[in-house]
Amino acid sequence: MESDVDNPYWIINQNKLTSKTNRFTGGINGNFKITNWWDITGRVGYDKYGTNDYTFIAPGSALSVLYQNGRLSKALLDYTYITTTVMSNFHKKFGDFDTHLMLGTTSENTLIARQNHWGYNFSTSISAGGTISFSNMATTNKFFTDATTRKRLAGAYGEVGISYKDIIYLTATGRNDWSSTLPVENRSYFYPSVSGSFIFTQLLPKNNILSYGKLRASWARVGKDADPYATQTVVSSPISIGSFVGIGNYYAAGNPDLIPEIQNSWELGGEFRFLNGRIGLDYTYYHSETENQIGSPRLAQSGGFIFSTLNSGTVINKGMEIALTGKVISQKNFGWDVVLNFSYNKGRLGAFLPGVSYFYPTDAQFGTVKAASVPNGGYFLGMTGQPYLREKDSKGVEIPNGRYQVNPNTGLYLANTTNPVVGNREPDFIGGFNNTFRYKNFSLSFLLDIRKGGDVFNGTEYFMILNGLSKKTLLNDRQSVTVTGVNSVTGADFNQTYTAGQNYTIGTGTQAGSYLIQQYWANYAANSYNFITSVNWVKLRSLSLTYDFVGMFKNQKIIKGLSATAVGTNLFTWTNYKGMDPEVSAAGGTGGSGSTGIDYLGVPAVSSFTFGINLKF
Amino acid sequence: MKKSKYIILGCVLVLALASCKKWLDVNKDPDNPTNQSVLIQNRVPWIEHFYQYTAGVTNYRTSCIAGVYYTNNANPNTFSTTWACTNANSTTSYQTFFVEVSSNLVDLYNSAQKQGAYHYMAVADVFHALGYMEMLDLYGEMPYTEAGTGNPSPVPDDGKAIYNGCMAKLNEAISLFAKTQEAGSPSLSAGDLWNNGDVNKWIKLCWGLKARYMLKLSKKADLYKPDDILDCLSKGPQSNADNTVGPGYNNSTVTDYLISDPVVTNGNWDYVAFGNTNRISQYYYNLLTNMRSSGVIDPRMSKIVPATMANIQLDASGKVASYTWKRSIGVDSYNPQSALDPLSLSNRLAKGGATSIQLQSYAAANTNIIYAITDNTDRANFIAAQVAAGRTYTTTGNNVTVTYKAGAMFINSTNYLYAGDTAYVNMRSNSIATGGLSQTDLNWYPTTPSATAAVTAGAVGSTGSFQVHPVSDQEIVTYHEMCFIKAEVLMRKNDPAAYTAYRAGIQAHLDMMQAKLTQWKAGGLNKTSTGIIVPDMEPMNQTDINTYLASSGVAQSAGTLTMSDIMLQKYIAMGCSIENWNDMRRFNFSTGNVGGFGIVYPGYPSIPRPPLFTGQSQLTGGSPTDPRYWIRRWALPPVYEIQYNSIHTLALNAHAGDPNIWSMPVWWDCATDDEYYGYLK
Repeated sequence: MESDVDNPYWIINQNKLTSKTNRFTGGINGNFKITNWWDITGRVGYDKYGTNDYTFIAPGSALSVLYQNGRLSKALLDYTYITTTVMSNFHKKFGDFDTHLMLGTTSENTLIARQNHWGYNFSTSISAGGTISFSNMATTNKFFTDATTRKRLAGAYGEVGISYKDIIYLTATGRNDWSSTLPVENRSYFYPSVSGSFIFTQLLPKNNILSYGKLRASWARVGKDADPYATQTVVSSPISIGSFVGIGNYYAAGNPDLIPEIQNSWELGGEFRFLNGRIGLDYTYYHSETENQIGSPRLAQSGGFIFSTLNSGTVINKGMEIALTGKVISQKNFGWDVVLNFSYNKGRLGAFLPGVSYFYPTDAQFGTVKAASVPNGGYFLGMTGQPYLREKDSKGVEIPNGRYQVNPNTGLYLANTTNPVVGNREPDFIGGFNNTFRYKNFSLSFLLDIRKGGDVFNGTEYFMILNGLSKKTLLNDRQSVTVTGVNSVTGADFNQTYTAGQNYTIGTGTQAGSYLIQQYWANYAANSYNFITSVNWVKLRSLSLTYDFVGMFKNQKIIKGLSATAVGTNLFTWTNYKGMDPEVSAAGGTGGSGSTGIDYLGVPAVSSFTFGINLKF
Repeated sequence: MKKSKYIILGCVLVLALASCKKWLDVNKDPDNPTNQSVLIQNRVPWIEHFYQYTAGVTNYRTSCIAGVYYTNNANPNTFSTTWACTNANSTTSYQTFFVEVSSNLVDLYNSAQKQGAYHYMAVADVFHALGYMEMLDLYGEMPYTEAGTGNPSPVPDDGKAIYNGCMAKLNEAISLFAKTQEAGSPSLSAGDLWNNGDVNKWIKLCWGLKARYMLKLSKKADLYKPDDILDCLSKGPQSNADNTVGPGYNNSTVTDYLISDPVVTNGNWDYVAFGNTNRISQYYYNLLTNMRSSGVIDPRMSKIVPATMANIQLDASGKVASYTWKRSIGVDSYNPQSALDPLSLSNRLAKGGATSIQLQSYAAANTNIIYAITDNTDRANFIAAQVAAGRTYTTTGNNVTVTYKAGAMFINSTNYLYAGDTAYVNMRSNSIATGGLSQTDLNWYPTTPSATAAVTAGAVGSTGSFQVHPVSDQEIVTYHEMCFIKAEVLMRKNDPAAYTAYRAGIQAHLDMMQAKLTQWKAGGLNKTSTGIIVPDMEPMNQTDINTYLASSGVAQSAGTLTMSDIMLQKYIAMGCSIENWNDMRRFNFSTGNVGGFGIVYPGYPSIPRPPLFTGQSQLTGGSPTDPRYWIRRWALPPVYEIQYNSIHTLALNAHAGDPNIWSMPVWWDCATDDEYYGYLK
């Protein structure tokens, strides 16, 4: 039974898994005006939650033999977070110059307490009336562990700003943090910023065309600390063998020399309003570099550990955002507003540990493809994989779009197993197009989500091809396949059709045609490029219709307003992607944003329809 | 009012700054001690256990290559049957050594050095040699100087550097063991699970390892030094009392932090006999029943080859009243066989598939199975087999319905090709963590189709195998290995004293087994929970031993002794051990082109390839004399090493990621350095 798999109905009906969280948050604020140019603000914030996880695995479940008589576990997590902030604000106006100075301190205190009780093998059978409880287990089958985590941060900061009339604004900030999670000699780090904006239209004569224009620029540095206890390598629980006790290192290495992460970013932008606010344009260009990113990636285990905490590398993001707004039609009974967004981001990995040719920030690896970041300027959201080898020219370089190499030992295409980069999962650009139409009391709006470029690996198709479930594998009714290319050893032309029912000499043996046809599809699946698409899409992200019952309640005193809205989201997708939904991140393994662009048995985004009523009293 | 506000504010700020440093001093994990605080006497048992574990998985998988075991588990089956070696086999040995052992060696050595605990430093050196030599034997090149220190992308060293480094460590260990520890440092007995702190045994262990490792250089004309080996042997184990073994226990269900296997059991058991996938292979079985074509059964055979209960008669309450023991036969992956031949056990794998050997079930009540057999010859042969076994059957057209009586062991499948698999007894032995009934009943009871019927009846499905019970000793360096090394070295010198060493080795192994079996009988492990005697766990019969030693199964004079005799007896004695594959590599398996000794491992397939061979991409040599015809090493585990460290790995060995890396000889398997470095380019 230990190698069996539970029936989903068994899991639903027999097992019980629950999670319950209680949360309390609150804060106290105080503002004290000391003089008319100096006030002090104080804040205390409090956030506490407790999570209880309960897991009962019924006797008779398909688990290892030890647990086939039931398992019970209860996990408690207690999280407390307290912050204090004290800020002194000074303002003074000197003629046309408005100045302010702010000095403050802040503290953060995090405490996490975990307890885990678990046990197995119920002494009295549950079906015979035994309780699902730890009392119904022998003492030797019950276990308990707990862990406490503490993190504290203190910061001191200041901001000074000056503005001239309403034309020029200049602000500078500086902050120093002291964190408990970094080694003592590295625990203090300083990060400043400076920003300015210039509303240049104030200097120009009043203009109905360009009614408002602002240019802005900023540079900022932000520091970040590590997780608690990241500086230590801890040991595993002791083991008893005979009369001896063994203790050894845990499989994650800490780093006693950690330094804080520092992010430097600068930004340029402008805001413009035309035709007295009828048309608006916002523009931003940014460049951000995070150095010494603290992480615990998987690296070569010959170092002695599976995970090592280290200051790993530099991540660079640069990009641009534009928003265009306009009131196309603005009449008493009819209006049409438009908002158009466009943005792109180029994420790159800078320097990384020498000797590591690819950095794998997640475990998202499916089929032949792995989500990888390429050091020294390569794609951050890259993808490595396995393409077919192409014919090489006289210098031994593969000819782009040349014929494929065929392996004479298998009679099928030869794959490049050196794990090259096969794609970039980051889109070329994304955009949104929002339209709102207003007619009397109706309002209709729809949002189109646009994307161009960005590779997606269709792992679902890969899985189906490997298992003969894809329609592609019905080629020629599975009676024949053709392999065309060049012999990888001799360079001679290779053109061979394999037909079911016949036998072929491959290498030193003989293979049946039907076997080769099956192997052809396994070989097809081995080429990553067969499943990678640079995806473009237009999605009707939302469509909503609202009616405001404005006239109905004019003389009412109780109900002040009523409106009804119908909204549909994710209604249509037009895309060149042949799989289900290109918007999924890999299911299973390590999901999350690190695995974006890898679709492996992913469930598409849900379309939903909502109807709501808004009542004002 | 204003002033008091200023004063209060000022005080608060001052207080805050003063206590800031202390307030931030909370970065010490209160629940998990750091690795700086571990005592050296606690490091050693950890290292000893986890070395046993990594050696166990290595011994098992290389024993599949050497032909000791067959497995129906897809990945090691590529070692035992199809030779289409797959990367999935490479991961565990590597991970369990580096993550579980290597970083602890560095910490142990450094902590011991601070205290002047020279014996502990020496123990760290010994495990350094044992572990990295295992890495060299398996993978050829591996991070060595930069390994185990937390460096996440270490530069690898080649085989020569690793070998010389390990030998230097053994020399240092020998000199450190000879010193007296500084006052105040713990005595070795406080932490030594293996030898209880007996420094002399450790010194002999080091000399024994040196002999073993120096013998590996047998292909190198310039580095093979037979007299030095004999000198090391003279300082190594001199009798079974000098054997170093790691103990195995069956008294705890606690599992380890990484793989979740029990922490007290024998490492070989964790892989060979933990689950249901392994069987004795025909090659090993043959050596135990027909050595030197004598037809005389080795007395060790019934302890090594498992048996199942058969011909069970149940009493009124459904318990076993009478039975016979049916010894397993070996699964044949090597002899020519064809799927087109008529049904018989000699073409079982060709007809059924490489991984198709089924697990035995127990019939609690009369059970009918209907087989559809379209081929007439097969049907006739099948029916004949039922008649020979005394089972009742009926036929309707192509269907044969066989009745398995209550108490029978049978294969619960309607595929007639599998019905005879009860002949191959599961290697499995139960521990209390894996379904065992008690600390002393190590037998396996079938759990299909009913989870409890066989246990209730007391119907034993397998008695297990001597080296792979949870409580078996894990042999590290033994006197019998020393004897066989001596025999080989003397044979290479044409010295007739090789014969004495050969006989001494066989005797030593028999004595070692006999002592352990006596201990097991005294401990009650020779009885099932229902009190039935399991003779496999009892000492061998002295008459059987005497008959065997006097038979033609054992060479009777120096004049008739061949290298093959020595190596095949060594093969039996080593059993589940990487040393068998190491030896086979040195003699080029069954090519027969080493030193004029002829074919040292006859019966190991050379031409033609094994019948289910599909390893053309991995073993690209064209003929047996081409070194690349054979399995010469393991690929580096891609998902643990190459993927994360490819620049350094490929800089040393440009072919580390090639499909045919499996056939590239390691450094000691090459006659010259030029040959070795030629492969790496």
